[in-house]
Amino acid sequence: MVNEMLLQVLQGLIAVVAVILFLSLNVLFLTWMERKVIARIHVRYGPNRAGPYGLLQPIADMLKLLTKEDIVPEKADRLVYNLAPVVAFLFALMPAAAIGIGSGLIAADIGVGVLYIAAVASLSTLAVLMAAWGSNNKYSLLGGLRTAAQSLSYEIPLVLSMIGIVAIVGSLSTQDIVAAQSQAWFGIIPKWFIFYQPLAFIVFFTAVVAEMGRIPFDLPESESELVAGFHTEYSGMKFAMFMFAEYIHFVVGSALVVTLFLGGWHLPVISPLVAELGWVKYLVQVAIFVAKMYLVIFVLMWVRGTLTRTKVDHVLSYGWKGLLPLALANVVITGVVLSI
Amino acid sequence: MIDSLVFLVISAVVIAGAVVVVMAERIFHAVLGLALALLGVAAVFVTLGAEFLAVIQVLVYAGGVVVLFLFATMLTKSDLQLRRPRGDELAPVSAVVFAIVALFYVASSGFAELGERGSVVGTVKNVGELIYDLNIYVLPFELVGLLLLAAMVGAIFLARKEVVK
Repeated sequence: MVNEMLLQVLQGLIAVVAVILFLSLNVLFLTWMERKVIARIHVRYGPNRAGPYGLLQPIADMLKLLTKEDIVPEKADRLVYNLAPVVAFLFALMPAAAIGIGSGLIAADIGVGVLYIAAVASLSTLAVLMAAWGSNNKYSLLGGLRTAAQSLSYEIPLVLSMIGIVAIVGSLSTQDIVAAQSQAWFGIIPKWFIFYQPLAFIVFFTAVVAEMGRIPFDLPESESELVAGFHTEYSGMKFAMFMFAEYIHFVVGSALVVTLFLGGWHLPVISPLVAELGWVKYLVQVAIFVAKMYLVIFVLMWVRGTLTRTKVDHVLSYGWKGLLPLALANVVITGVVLSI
Repeated sequence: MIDSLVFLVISAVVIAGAVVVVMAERIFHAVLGLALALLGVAAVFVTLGAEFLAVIQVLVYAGGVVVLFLFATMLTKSDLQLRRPRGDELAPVSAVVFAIVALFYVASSGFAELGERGSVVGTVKNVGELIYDLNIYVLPFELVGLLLLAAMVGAIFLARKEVVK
């Protein structure tokens, strides 16, 4: 009895450490990749001093941030100000628990999986508002207000666009959703939900970019108007935690797109080949998943290098008048088609 | 044993959050205390096997209502002067009276025994079947939806600016 309990606790701990390790490694790599990709789009070199191709740049950046002075504004609400980065980090990690990178390779296969992800992802707005208010700075406050308005508006199409998939699969678990995409037509064309639900994919992808707060929806921290938005006053490690949380959102959002629309760890031709091969199977699954995830990430970086920032009123009216009706239409169409 | 230990820890968090809501000097802190209490209640739902309810609690209350509260707070007087008036000498008296009444109630009736944990699972399927069963809850559910829609239309009507000709 006690041994069983201990085993359970140990399993949980291993899962938590694995998730954090996976996210951290990807975040470190992403900070380098983003600068490199954007630089190529701008016809620059990007970081190329620390290590081969500048690959050690993330470590240099981290050391720099660790040694910076920690500044707290005199009139800040100290408790809220100091708590905000921790809360941001915590809520950024939580959605990752319900996303699997292979069959069974998941920290917690929750029955209400995708709903859980949407719910805890919406909590990160709380951290941003805490930072915005606690800093007692007008730029932070404006950034925080924009974040709240934007994430409330885009959360609704985000959740609605998942309903079509949930209705087809008949389950909210991410494992079941990926399993439902394992087949292929003629063995070549994959039965991914991007083909069944193209409209939902467009809505979901746009809403995810808005929830991540990336260009063209990076109003919360638009540097030309608001200095840096909600984290204007933060420095050193606290700033690093906000950046870390932001990149975790990036990884988790891309992983969610892969899970819901791009077939997760399935790839036609290759997946059936390795299905019987013990641990090699898992290795291939993780490789396929990570490759797809980086494809999505690359597209998002490409978008960042190409598009400009949208005006704040346009962002909101686009969310309510554009995405919401599209998402509702998708729910209705899926319902009608499924009931025929 | 471990179940009641988990329950005790969660309850302590919920009560701490509730105390912050009542006692906090700054309104922003009170709202954050509310968020803590609501998240704690979601955790209680999880321990009782009502996972759907827990997720909805987080999505609607902690992610939606609390964010709207904070939004409204930020639109009010922006500096830290927004404090509630102090000096309520009768507060300890009312606390003592409430404690006595609550103790009497508990002593006379005792706590109801909870059902077997996990005997009824609050999955999406179970909740959905209950709501959309024609004989049970479908009519009340739809009526509540209509009522909320009417409330929303009313709120928009009240909040919109008069159009000047």
